[in-house]
Amino acid sequence: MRVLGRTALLAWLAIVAASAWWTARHTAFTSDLTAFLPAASGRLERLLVAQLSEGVASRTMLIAIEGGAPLELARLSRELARALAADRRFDYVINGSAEFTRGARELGLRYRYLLSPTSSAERFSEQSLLRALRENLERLATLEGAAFKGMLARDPTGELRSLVEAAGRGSPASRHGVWFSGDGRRALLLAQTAASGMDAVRQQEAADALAGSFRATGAGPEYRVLVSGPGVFAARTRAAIEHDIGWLTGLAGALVLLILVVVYRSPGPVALSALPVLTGLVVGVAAVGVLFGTVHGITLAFGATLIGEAVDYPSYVFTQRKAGESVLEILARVWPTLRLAVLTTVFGSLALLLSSLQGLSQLGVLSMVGVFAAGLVTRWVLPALAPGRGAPPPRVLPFSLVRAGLAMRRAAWIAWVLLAAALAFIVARHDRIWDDDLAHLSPLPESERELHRQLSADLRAPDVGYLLIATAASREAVLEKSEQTALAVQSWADEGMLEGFDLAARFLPSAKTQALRRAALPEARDLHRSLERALRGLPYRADAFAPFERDVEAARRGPLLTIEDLRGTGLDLKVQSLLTARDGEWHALIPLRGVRDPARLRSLAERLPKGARASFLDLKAESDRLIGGYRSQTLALAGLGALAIALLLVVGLRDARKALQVMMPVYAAIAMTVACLLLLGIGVSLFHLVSLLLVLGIGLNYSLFFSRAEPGTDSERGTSLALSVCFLTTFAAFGCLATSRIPVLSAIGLTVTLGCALSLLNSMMLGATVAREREAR
Amino acid sequence: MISGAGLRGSLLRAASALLLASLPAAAQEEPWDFARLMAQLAQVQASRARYSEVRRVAVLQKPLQLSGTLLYARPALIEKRQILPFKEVIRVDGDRLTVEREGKTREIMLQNAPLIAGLVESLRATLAGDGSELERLYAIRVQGNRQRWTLALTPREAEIAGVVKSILIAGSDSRVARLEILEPSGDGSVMTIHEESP
Repeated sequence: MRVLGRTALLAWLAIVAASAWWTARHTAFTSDLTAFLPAASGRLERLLVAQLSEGVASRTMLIAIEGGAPLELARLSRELARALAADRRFDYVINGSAEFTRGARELGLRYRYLLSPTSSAERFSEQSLLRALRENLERLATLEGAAFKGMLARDPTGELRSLVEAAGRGSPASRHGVWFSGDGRRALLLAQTAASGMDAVRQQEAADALAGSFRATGAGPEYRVLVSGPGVFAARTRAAIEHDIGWLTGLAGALVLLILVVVYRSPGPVALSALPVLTGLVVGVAAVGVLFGTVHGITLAFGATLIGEAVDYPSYVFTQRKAGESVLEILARVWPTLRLAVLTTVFGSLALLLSSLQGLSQLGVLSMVGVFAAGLVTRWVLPALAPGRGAPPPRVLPFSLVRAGLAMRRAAWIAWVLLAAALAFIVARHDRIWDDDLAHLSPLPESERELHRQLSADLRAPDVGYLLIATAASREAVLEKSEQTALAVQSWADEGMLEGFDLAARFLPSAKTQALRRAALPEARDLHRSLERALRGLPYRADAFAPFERDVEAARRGPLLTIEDLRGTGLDLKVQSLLTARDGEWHALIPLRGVRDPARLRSLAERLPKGARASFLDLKAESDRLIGGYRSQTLALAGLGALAIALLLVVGLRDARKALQVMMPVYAAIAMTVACLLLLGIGVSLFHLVSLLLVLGIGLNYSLFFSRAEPGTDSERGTSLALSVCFLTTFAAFGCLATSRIPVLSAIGLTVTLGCALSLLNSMMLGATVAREREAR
Repeated sequence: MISGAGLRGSLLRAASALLLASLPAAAQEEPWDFARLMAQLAQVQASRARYSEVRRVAVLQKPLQLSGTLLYARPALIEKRQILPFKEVIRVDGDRLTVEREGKTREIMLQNAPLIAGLVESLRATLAGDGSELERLYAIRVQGNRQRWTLALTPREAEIAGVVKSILIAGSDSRVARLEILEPSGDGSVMTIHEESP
């Protein structure tokens, strides 16, 4: 036995050391949230996720200033924009004022004949010029005359005006010369951070810099700056998770420690209690590292809670100690039941393991390996480390859970009624049980997501709800193709099927289109002649439009517009966000605004000719479909896990009836928990399902140990204490988690706390007992 | 000659400056400033006028001649009916501006169009005697006396200053008689207002 103990100890040390070494050496920890987002299935969805997480859009900060009169808000907007423009943590800032759109306007003026869709040879004929000049004459006498006159000599055909009007249709409302929300309560800005949207640390720095710049504007205390965007989300998520994990695990740990110290009255068992769970964590993390290469921060956090069950294993042993008994002797009695308890959890984790959501399968590995390791440590390492008989027996409880349970059996009908009510409620709500909205899994509070929606709408950022994606082999090819797609989409928009759309080629037309427009420009002599004829009889000066002639000639002889020319105007960022290369292909994203009939658009898009082909994507439906798929998959796998657990119990207990009696209270508890969640208005999400698996694992332990407690014996006292300690530690740990601000953490906390409490009560009232078996005999 | 004229000119200016400096003493019972001008204008409840406008535009051989009627009603309604060279009705009530031409009506919210708002307010806020609105948009200088005053407005906001160099408004008592807009390009317009008796 001693030899066996020493071998176990050495093997344990070796495995823990190897695991720690592997983790430290080879495993990367990431805080990237996408592991818990559905891994996009299609090529286009993947492209989109990449564009959202790495692309220009991810570096966009949506900024709003609120709290006072529009005039002061406009002043603050200008000051803040100037400060950010000078800050190297920001690449670019725009608030709608002339100061920050000058570059784009100058570019538009210079390249107007290549950019304008209305630019054609017909535009410069005598008739067209005559018509344009007459219209201009009238316009001079109108209210806008003063504003429009400045460009008249250079742009009598109004190309710049139509470009500005087209751009204006997609721009936010404006007051006092800067962007505002429609209701005038918020001044709006857009900024582009230098750091990637997923670099949470540098995003935090940028957000801090912005807050500092805002304070420096001397804004009164009633003014507030609001910031949103993917980078801001990354930074806040990281901060919130770190804060909650740190603080809640600290608190939960302290509570658990307190409970154990009170019960064991000796430091030895308390210290040993931590051993299985710590070993499980180290080995489990290493296993995830070996299998996946990286370990997600959230996996670690959830995993630590999932194998929290392992804290109970030593408790089931130490609490059953009789005076003068060695750990090995206790194990001889307890191990058969404990072994079943460990194995049920291992089998339950199978469900997670097989999930195609990477975050969940990581959790499965961590929990399966971790719990298994913890079980082994409890069985082989604890007796080797604490071979003595010297430890005092644990405190004796002034009450007995087992007796209380037997007493409550008279009221068992209440539990049956409650169970029936819960089942009836679930059946009645069967169409509204699931919550597949990805947004509800987001660790961000609803208020922040609502703010983001508002700011996006106010800034007229295209909602990434529906979009078309055109794909081709090169940037030029995809620009050309998307121009063809856009012609079709524009005709749909004219018919009222959608409000509008975004297109990279609007800011950077394909070289082919530009060359066509350039070739349509008349030669200087021809233009001069047409203009001269058109001017006959009109009250303009003969030389009034010389600047126009110079500009047309310059455009005719000048170069085409390239993406390099867009740099620094803000338009380059726009183009980059709509145009992306991936896997050797170029994609043009065409986000659609105000879509009225998605189904119709989809079928129209499918019938686009080859040269204009683009795929229609409905992102919300897509993400709901994905999540729903993962949920039903998880449910199916959970069913499989439950079946495996049932078989295991039948084999382990060698009694199908008893196995059923052991399982029944726990499944009843799960049904009641689901009913409670629904009653609280909470839909069952993927993470609730995962938590219910944990409830199954822990609840079965309660039921198993309860079933072997013989009233009036040491085993009754021991079991009563063991269950009390296990339940209290679970309640403390998950109760803390339930208070988290992060929806996923609080979902797990609430579900497990509720589920375990109900499991314990049901085991006491409805579960299998030794007494009942006797009665049966 | 040139220096002689310059000398005479400056002598004249000095003399008139002296004269002006002594004026307040002469008209002590009636000092004149921006606040008093605004208070006086603010007493008008409604007014109706004919106007004629001469608009100088560099690209044109000769200035445009425009004319029509103006209507103001407290607190914030102004209506400009242009009759020549074509019919156009511009109506501003509060923040909403509508333009009616050839049977078509267009609507603009002033707060979304800073330049137009600036131009509209130069007349409307003056007629309303709304000093704070004028001061918000323009740097202000008042000259003259109750019987014969001028109000010089220089835009504060860049958006307006890009198109308008200054606006000179002249009038007597609570009547506005003339509104001149000077543009940075050298273009400009002069609107002469003949008020009709209420």
